[in-house]
Amino acid sequence: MGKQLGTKNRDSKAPSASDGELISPATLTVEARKKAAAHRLQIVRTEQEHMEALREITANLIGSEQMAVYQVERSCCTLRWQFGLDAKPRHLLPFAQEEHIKKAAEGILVSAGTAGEMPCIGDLPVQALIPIRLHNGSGGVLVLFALLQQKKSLDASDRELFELFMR
Amino acid sequence: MAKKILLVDDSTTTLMMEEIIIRQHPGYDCVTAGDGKLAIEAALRERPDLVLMDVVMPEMNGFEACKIMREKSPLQDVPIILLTTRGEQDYVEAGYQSGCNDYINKPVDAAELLALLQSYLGE
Repeated sequence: MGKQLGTKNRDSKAPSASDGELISPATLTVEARKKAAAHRLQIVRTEQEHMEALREITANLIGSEQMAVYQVERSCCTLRWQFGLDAKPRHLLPFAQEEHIKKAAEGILVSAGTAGEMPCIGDLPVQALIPIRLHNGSGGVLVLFALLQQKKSLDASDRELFELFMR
Repeated sequence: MAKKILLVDDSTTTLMMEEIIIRQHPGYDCVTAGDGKLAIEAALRERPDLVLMDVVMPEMNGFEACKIMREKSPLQDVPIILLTTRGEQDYVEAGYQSGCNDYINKPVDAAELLALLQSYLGE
């Protein structure tokens, strides 16, 4: 293990990706991302920490610095948190007008590349709508907007990380 | 003897991912630091063979830390690779002006990272 010198969470430890066996770089990338993200999500204790973990994983491991979290209500989603957006996204997303949001609120991952044409929220094109469990136990939807310049598109390994968010 | 790599990032998630990747290589060992100031202290103490450092960090960013490391005689020739979410050309140029040897973008790709480390550290 590397010595931890002043990192935010000093209890973090790096597990090996494959119990000492050498694996291909492509597999290593996927496994390392999943292990690091799973560990990060395990150590959250408060809603603030949960949001920070989602932001950190999304920015550093997936490649998007623009995101919002909505809470699922009876007939709509309401904005709970946002990060990296110049303009505030719409506060209320009624299911009657937002079919993709309704799907995500029902627990279905909606992601560019698998879900046909993706919606916009306000003027902001959406890359993914990820069902999550909020720290208070209620349902939520993590919305990813623009990807980083160097990130061309979401892929299957990104969707594996989204599944970690959904647990 | 294993080559020592100093990993610098305020994101523990990124540090963990990098460690998992780098530790797959039996010839590399890691130490970590959480910001630029701590990185300079760690680099002077640990004398790494290479520094892999994030740019956007609290206290002191990667550009400033890189500049200061280049002014310290024990660290002048240590390869420094900057790593960031910002892929814009002006960021890359600022990185090279700060004295880094290379610049790669997040999200980290294991093949790209290991190839780059190998180019500086060998097998």
